[in-house]
Amino acid sequence: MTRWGMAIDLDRCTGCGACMAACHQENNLAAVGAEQAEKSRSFHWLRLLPEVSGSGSEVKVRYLPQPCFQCHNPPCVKVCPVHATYLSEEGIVGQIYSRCIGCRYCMAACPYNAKVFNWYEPEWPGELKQKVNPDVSTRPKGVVEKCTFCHQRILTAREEARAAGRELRDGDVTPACAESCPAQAIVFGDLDDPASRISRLARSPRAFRLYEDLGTEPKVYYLAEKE
Amino acid sequence: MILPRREFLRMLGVAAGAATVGGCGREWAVPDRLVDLALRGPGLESQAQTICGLCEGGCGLTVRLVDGMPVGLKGNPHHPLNRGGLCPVGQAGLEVLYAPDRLQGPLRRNPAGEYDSTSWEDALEEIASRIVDLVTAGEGRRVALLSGESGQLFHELATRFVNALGSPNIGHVRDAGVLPFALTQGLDEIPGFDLEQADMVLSFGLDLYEDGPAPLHAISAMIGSRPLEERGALLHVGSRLSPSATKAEIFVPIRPGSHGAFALGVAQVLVREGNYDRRFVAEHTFGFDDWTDDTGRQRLGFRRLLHERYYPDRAARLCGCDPERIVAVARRFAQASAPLALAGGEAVQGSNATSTAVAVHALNALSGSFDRPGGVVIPPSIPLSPLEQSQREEGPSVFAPDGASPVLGVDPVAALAERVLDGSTPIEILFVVGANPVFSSPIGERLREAMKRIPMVVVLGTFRDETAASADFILPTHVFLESWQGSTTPPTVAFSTLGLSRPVVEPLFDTLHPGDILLELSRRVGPPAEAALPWPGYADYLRQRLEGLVISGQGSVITGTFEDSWIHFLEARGWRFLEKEGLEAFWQDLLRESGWWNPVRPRGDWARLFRTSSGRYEFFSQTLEQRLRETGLAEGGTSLDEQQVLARGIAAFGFGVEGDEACLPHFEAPEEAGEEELALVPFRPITARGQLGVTSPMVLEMFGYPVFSGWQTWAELAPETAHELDLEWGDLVEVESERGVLEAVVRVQPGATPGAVHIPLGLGHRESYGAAGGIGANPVEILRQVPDRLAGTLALSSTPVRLRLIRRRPHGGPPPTHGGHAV
Repeated sequence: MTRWGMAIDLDRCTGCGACMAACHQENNLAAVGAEQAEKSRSFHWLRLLPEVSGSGSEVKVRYLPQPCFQCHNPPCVKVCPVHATYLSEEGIVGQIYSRCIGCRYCMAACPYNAKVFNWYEPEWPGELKQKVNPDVSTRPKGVVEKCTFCHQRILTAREEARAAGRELRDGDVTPACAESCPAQAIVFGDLDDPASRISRLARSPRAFRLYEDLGTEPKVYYLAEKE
Repeated sequence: MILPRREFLRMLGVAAGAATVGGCGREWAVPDRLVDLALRGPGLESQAQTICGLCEGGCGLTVRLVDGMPVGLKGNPHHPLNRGGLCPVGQAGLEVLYAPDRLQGPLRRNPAGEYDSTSWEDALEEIASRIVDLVTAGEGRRVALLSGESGQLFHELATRFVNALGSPNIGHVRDAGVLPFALTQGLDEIPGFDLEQADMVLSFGLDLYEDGPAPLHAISAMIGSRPLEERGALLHVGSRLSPSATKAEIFVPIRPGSHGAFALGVAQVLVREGNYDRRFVAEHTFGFDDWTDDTGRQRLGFRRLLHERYYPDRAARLCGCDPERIVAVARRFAQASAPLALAGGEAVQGSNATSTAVAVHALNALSGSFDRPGGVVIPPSIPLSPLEQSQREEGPSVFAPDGASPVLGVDPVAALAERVLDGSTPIEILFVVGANPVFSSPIGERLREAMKRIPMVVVLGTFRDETAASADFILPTHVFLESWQGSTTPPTVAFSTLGLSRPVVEPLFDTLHPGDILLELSRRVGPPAEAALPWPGYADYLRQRLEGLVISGQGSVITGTFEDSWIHFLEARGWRFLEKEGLEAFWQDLLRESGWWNPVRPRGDWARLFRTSSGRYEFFSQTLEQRLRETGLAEGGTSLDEQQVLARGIAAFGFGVEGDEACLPHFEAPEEAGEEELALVPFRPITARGQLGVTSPMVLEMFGYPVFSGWQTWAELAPETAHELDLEWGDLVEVESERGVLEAVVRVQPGATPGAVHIPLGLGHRESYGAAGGIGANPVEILRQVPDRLAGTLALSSTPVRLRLIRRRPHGGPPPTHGGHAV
């Protein structure tokens, strides 16, 4: 069975924001505009979070690109009253928009703030709607949405592999964030395949996950900077 | 939508893949949705390679098309500049293409000051007849063209156009970045820095991974293209802990504008500890040790200057940092086997920009980082077909008035504005192409006034921006995905590239390429313009120029990445890339792959690297001495002796040093902020790259993503400064200089130098500008107009400001974090 996971090498990441923008374009995230942004209603499926340590001239800052961590033990799934969010067989935490009632319990339960609420019908002024990616549905207003590890790309890659009469190989699937990264800091693949790049990186001594003590078992691994 | 029934059924037939024969041909009112669905067609996917035209970086793009319409952009993994990466602005390419408020057709201002739609025919005819009047009257020099288009190909066409009319007035709104390399190496172009093979970059103020001519190339070269556990080391000296600076092994916060002092402090430690390339310094530099000139006078050498003036204690005092940090940086720099020192961003936008860059470049000379892998190189020239000789108009132009040689320049926008306002150079027709100087130049307000005095101003652009607001004609141009493009190597890149792209999508509106506009005007003007620009279209011009590539046999169509060892092997053996069967085959390949590149650099060509009078790297710049002398003579007459002439020259330039030190790398003090004032340091975040990026809603939404800010201008303060001023994260403040006021939201950023306020460039468009009209504030508007003492370009960071609280953070919780580390 496939278990999708991601590794983000913080030693390579420069915080350029390419992943964030690529995610917007791939997944049809509409901008909310100046007025709503001021009310903290702008949303991104993948954010760059600064982490500050030390102070004064010894201060250290690093940026953590943060998609949904696709927890193996996701707190958001447990609290959903209508089973709109679920853990798929391949380890991706899915969101069924037509079921979601917008109660946002899942957002409250997520320790990583990975889920976002769609306050408005997505809008693309003027001709902008022409650039919508036909592979990803736009979400109606009033539902919670989140990073899907670009599952549409997984489906496409699987179809292509099937058409070519072969198994899916390591490296066949690249989410938009990983594809756009100029530093090649993001690696995606099957954690259950011991030979895959991702499973090797997940075993690296530099690998860590956020809040492992919570028992959520995220499938996104960070690789710490080298000293 | 009203459609003939037959037409609708035909569309449905295409969509369903079935043949439907229409009936009586009456018109149907068809719901738009159905039309959309029908038009969407069978959903056939294709890909096209092109070049991103949103900034000068020239990254390769792969466009994903469904039924011929672009629905996605990604980096071209084969392109040698970005190797698959794509920055946020590049990702927004489609949003720029489809941006609201794009100009949809030519506009002409009526006597009431309003704009009316006009046709291309009428607009071009009127402009051409005005040009003809001028040329016939022998007043062709009253035409001027100011361009912001990057790359050599368009610029050469525009120069030819202006010259053919009998005018020398062609200007480009670019940085004066070449001057430090002219003074030290005698170059007339910015050299390349081989980041791919450098093992360390010591950056002075340059946000290497966000700013500079090609940041995506920098990321790819220093990190992306290297094996997993390797990357080039970075040291950063500056006043702001930018995302790029957070990657630095050592980050030293210093006072804004004091980068030059830090660099000289590092140089002193390198020399004192013997950590410099003795052989290079002895064989290829001039002025390191004391020397005797033709008159027998002993002159000051760089080594003695360093020991006397730039020992770490003094340098550190000038920078406001601990001397230990200078020593630490110098020792780390000395450990590297292929280090590079780069200046950029805040370090080269003050009134001491050129002096700072010269001081930084001296570190490259001390480490011998020239003509070697990972060093300073001159990329091979691009073998474009030469143009047939045509009329050239040399001499002073309105953008570079008399006396200003290429060595010590002037600000082209300021020169234009002042010359027009004081009436000394009357201009009748001004073309502005791909630039918005009213918005981006500190002298924008004066330029706006000057434009009012010019009888005909023609602005070629994509939006009705601030410069277009003063135009008589606004001629809309294509967005890059709609047009032919030829982009040449971005500055600082160590190999040569030529990006070629053809239109990926039909123009959405009634727009033209700027090149085609100039060609059409030439046709209408008739000889001699028509003879000098004989091409039917810009594409024909490109094709003719690019034939030179195949004839030369140098370089190759982009075919994927090469192993370094492979390139070295070929370099050693001499090589010709894949030969093509004729021009047509080459052209088709070039179009399909969207470009050409040549990574092979001739080695050991010192004459090409050092074009100074000594043929060496000049610590002591004889070019500068010559200019100082000339200026001194002009100031003081012939009655003075040698030294007095020099002293006059130095005084005229406003240097803070005396004698030989003026011609050596030295520190010029920046403009200092007074008591209770902060130093305003504008910076360019990666989201503000290029002019057009901010027209995209997505770019605005993530504009200040490192500080959780979108759709607004923010002011970054060090925690100490914020505390002192009693300001907190999210407070709205007024930033006031002697020239004006702007509003910004406070962001408290650790690591920044106390006493500085950093404000992003790029926002504050007052006119309609895609999604960015009326969003944020433009720090350029409140800048003092202080020129760089050597280059003459207007400084961006020499303005003291005061901050005043308008209101506290209105609502909302603390900034979002992942829980454990509140910022």
